[in-house]
Amino acid sequence: MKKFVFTIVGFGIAVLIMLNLFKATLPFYWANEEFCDKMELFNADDSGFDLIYIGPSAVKREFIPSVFESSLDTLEIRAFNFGTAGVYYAEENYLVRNAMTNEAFIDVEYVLAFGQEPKKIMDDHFHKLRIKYALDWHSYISCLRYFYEKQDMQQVYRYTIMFIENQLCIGEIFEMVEWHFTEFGVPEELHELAGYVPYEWSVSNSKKSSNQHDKFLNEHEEDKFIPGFRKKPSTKNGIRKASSSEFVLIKDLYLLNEIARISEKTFIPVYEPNMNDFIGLDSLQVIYFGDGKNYPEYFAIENRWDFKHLNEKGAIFHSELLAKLFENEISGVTGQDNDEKIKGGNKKNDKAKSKKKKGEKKIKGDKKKKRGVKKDKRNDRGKKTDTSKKSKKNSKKKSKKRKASIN
Amino acid sequence: MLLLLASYVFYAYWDYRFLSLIILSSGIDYYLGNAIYTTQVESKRKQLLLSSVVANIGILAIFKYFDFFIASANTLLDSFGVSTQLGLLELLFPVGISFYTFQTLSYTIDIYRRKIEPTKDVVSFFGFVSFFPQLVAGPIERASDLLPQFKSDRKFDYSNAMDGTRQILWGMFKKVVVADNAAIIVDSIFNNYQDASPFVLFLGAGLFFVQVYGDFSGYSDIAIGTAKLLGYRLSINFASPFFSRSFSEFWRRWHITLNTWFRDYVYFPLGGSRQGKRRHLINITIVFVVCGFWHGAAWTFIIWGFVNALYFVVEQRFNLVSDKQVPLEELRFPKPGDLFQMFMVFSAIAISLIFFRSPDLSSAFDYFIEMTDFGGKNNYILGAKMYTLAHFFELLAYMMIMLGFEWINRANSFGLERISKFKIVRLGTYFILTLLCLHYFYGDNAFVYFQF
Repeated sequence: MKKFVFTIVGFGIAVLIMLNLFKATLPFYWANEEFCDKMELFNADDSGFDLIYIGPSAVKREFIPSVFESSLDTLEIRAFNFGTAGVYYAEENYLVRNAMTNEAFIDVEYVLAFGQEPKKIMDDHFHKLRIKYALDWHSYISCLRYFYEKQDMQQVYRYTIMFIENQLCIGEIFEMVEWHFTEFGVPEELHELAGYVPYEWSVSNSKKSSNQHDKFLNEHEEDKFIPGFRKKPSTKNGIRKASSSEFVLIKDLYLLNEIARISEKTFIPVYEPNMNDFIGLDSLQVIYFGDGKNYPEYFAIENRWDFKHLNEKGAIFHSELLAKLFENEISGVTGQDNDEKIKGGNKKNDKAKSKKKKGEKKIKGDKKKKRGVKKDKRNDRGKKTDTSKKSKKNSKKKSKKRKASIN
Repeated sequence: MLLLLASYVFYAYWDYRFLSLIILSSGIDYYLGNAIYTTQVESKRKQLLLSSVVANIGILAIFKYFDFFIASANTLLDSFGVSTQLGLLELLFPVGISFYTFQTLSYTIDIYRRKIEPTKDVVSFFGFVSFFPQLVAGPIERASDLLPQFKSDRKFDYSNAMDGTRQILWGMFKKVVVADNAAIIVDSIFNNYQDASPFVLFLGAGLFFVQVYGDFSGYSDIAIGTAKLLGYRLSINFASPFFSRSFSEFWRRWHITLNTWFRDYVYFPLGGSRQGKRRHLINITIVFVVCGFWHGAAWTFIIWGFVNALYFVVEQRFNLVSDKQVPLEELRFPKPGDLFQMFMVFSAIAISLIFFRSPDLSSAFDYFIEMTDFGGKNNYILGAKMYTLAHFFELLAYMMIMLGFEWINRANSFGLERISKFKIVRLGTYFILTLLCLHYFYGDNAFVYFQF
C-alpha cells in the first residue's frame, strides 16, 4: 500500500514540477493575448513610458494616452494603455502585482489600476474563464475571502475549483507550448495610440460590439442615460462604513501599495464614476471621481458607446479629466476633494503637503535629463532592444491578422 | 458496510430522493431471491420469479418508458381523430436504473435456474447492487461473479492496484481526450446538418461512433480500474471493437456485459438458434430491437436496434463470415482484406448510429436525405472555420494513438496493459497521457451512457 501511494504521489509531484518549470519559462501575462500584443508595442517604443494603466475594457476603450499626456499642466509623462478586454479583479490584481516587480516595467513610475470588485464566475464561464491562469495563491485567497464574507459559497467553490485547475494547468498546457511559437504584435494603425483601442474601430470586426451599441441607442433614444448602478454614500459626510468583504479589497490595495513602495513606483487605483463608492483609503493615493452626479458628461448619450463604455468623444473627456485628477492626486490633493476641485477649477489647498510632494515628482524641465538615464538603462538590456525591432517587423506583418483578435 | 455507505453517498450526491428506489429494488430482489430458493413448488417459484420481473421491469417502465407509451398512444389517438390527450408523468430519470435493474434481475433469474444460491448477507447483496464504480453505467455484473467477492477477504495487491491506475488513466484518455474532442465536432455537424456536405455528414456519423466508444469504453475502464484499486474484479465490457471484421464479431466485442445479458436472459429463452433458421433470425431481430429499446424510450433507439438486427441477419443468412478467418489476436498486422472489412463494419455501424444520435426520427431521416444531396454543398463546417479544422486534425492524432495502443493490446483487457519492456518508454507514455488528460480536463461533459 505504501509503495503504491508513494508511486502515485511521486508521479503526481513529478508532473506538477515539470509543469511549473515549464510555466516558469513564460512571462507572467502569457495567457492574455491582448496583453502580449500590447507588450510588444510597449517594448518596441524607444522612448519608454512613465505611466501604465492596467484594467479591463473600460480602460482599453476610454483611456487615450496622448490626450492624457497633453492635458497634464505641470508634468511631462508618457502614458501607455494596458487595458485588455475581460480582465476581472483576480487577473488585474495579478497583472498589477507582477508588473510592479517585473524588469520589463523598470522605467515605469506610475501604475494606475482600474478599481473593481471580484466578479461572480457565472455558469458559462466556469472552467473556461481566462482568470484561471492568473489565480495564483494571492488572488485566490483574496477572492475566496471576499466571497466568503459575502456568504456566497457557490463562488467560494468555483474559485477553489478554478484555482486547482490553474495549479494543474488544466486546459492550458497546449497554450503554454504554443506561446513560444506565437508572434504577437498590434496593427500598425494602433502604434500611435499607445494601447488605446476606440470602440469605433471594432465595429467592422465585431458584430457583438456593434449590437451592444445599437441596443444602447435604442433603449436611450432621448438624451437621458441614468446610471442606476451607482450606490450613494449612506452617511452625511459621504463616508459609509466598509463592509467586511470590502475590507478584503482594501487590504489588497494596501499590499499593492507596499509592493509599489518597495519597487519605487507609485500605485494609484482609479475609481470611476460608474463604480461603487469605496472608502477607507485615506492613507492611499487614489483617483476617486466621487459622486457621478458631478460628471454629467460622463453619462451623456453622445459620449457613450454602450452601458459600460464611453465612445471616442467620451474617452477624450475622460482622459482629460483623469489627467487633472492624476495631477491633483500626485500633487497631494486628497481624493475626497477632487469633485470640488474639478468643478471649482483646480483650487489649491494644503500648500505644505503639496510642496513636499512636488519635490518628489518630475517637472517638465527635468524630463530630458531623466529620459537620457532611461535610454541607458534600456541599452543595458541590449537583447530587449533587438527583440523590439524584430517584433516591430513582425507586428507589421501580422497587423491585419491581429486586428480581429485585438478587437 | 463502508463500501455500501460510500456507494449510497455517491448515488445520493446526484439526487438523494432516488436512493430509496435502489434500496427498494435491492430489498425486493433480496427477499424474492431467498423465497425462490427455499420454495420447492415449481409453480410458486415461477410466481415469485414473475413477481421479481414485474417489480423490476415495472420500476423501469414507470421511470423510463411510461411517458414514451403515453406519448405514442396520444399520437395514435390523434391520427384517429380522437382529441383526448392522456397525461404524461414527466418524472426525472434515475441515473443508472437500467444497469442496476438488469443486475438485480439476473440475480433472481439465476437463483430460479438454480445456477446460484441466494446470499444471506444483506450488506453484501445491497453492496453488489449499488457498487459505486459500476452503478451508473455498468459493466452489468452477474451475481455469480461479483457477489462472492464481497464476502471474501481482500488484500491490497500492488501490481493489481497499479494495473487499475493504468486502466483509469487509459479510460480518462479515451473519455477526456478522444470522446470530448470528438463531441465538439459531432455536435457542430449534427446541429447544422442541413448546411453540410455529404462528406461532412458521413464524417459526423463516423466521429459520433468514435465519441460513443471513447465515452462509454472510457467509463468502463475507469470503473474497472477503480474496482481493481479496491480489490474487486469486474467484467471486460469492450474488446477493441473497431477491429471487428464482421457484425457478429463486433457485437462480441461491444458492450459485452449487456449483450451477454440479452443472450442469456432473452435470446436463449426465446429458443436461440435451436428452432430453425427462420426462428433464429427472428430471435436475433427481437433481441436487437429490445436492446435498442433498453437504450432509450424513443423510436430512434428502436430503429437503431432494428437496423443492426438487419446487418446481423443479412450476415448470418448469407454466411458472409468466412470460417477460415484468422482470429484477431493471432494477426500480426491486418491484411488489406481485413482493413476493408473493418472499414465496412465501422461505416455500417456509424450510419446506424445516426438514429442513436438524432433527437427524433424526422431529424434522422432528414440527415440521411442530406447525405445524398451531392449538389451545391460545401464542407463549410471543416473548411470555413480554421479552428474546427485544426481541431479535427488534433482529434485524428488522438484517435490514431488510441487505435495504436488498442491494436498492440488487442489480446489484453485494456489499451495500456502492455506497452514496452523499457521503463522509460512506459513512464513517458503515462506522462504524456496525463498531460493530455490535464489539458482537456475541463468543462462538465457528462458521460453519454448516464442517460440510459
